[in-house]
Amino acid sequence: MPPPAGPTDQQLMVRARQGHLAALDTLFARHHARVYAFLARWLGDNDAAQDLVQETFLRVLERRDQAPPHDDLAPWLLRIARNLAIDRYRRDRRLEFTPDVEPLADPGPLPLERLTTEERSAQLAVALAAISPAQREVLLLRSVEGMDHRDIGLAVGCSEGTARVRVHRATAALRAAWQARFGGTHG
Amino acid sequence: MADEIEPLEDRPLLDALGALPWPQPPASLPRDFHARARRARRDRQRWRLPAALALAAVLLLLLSGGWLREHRVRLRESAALHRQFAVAMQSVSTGERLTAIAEAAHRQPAGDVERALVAALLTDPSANVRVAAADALGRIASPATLAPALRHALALERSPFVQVAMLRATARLSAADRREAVQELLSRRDVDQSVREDANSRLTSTTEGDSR
Repeated sequence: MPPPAGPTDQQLMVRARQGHLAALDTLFARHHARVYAFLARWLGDNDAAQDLVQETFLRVLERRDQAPPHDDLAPWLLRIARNLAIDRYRRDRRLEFTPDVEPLADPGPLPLERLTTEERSAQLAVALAAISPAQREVLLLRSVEGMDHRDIGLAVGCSEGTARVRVHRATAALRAAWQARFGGTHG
Repeated sequence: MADEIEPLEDRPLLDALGALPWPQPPASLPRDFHARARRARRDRQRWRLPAALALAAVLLLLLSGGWLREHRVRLRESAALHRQFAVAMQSVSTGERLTAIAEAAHRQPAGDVERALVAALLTDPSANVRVAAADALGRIASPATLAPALRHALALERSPFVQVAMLRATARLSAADRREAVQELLSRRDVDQSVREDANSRLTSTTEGDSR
């Protein structure tokens, strides 16, 4: 992600701590779409994603003194969003969070080059929905958010090395899910 | 570990995932968030005073609870000491009674100890104990207790030794109370001359304005 124009996220938080709450509005404008996209893809629930985005930034308002001193607060925001989502869904028991699920059978690289753009998007979205929330989460952070393994670890609360392993296993699970659903179609 | 895992990353798949169209938030989301944030700030301010009052009430309760606990402990300790003193003053041993009075003389406030000391002053068979009681009362008894006790005791005490101790104890009384107590002694015919002179000197100093 290219650095934003204007003040950095850290500079915005400094201003917010000084009582200039308009700085939080700027932070919201800068990041809310990304947080929403992550939540919507991860949870598969747009309404929940809308609500959780707002809760995320309300939490940022409450905890502006605790923001890490980073120019890009996206990992911190995604971590807050993630934790709020986990709390809500654990109460509802709608999501099972099992961080490390061994894939049944990894079919290897997918024949993505044989698919049209539309087919690829649709099929990967289906396969993504079929893997566990924990696996989906790290894949989204790696692929969509473009986070490195260190930032993924920060977002999900694990070490960089563990984040690497989780991404690896999640990739294998996604391939297995695609294979189970669409493998016969494409040989 | 990084060198082993990194080459296994399925770059084409990750890139394909990254190319998925992003779900877009509804256009109303920023407006909804701002309204919610304003409500949250308003609610926080609305609850600030009651929360502060509640906190103050809780602190007050804690502090008063702590004070009450401390007060109850002090009362229990005081009652226990008074019971010990009362028991000691019933002892047949003069030495034990003297020791009890010596310890009681350091206790403030005197409370029930005053009454026991007055009883010792008036009724203890040992002159030494009555002297110790007079000295202790002179140090710790309230004037309201001391004045009538000394008046009564000075009217009855036969031992010059104890009479002099009582006269010393009048030093803490007001001029009027001191005069009244000393006159009780001087009105008696059986008072030793040296004691009478001591009593007169205290009256003289009182008359000259040596009052409390």
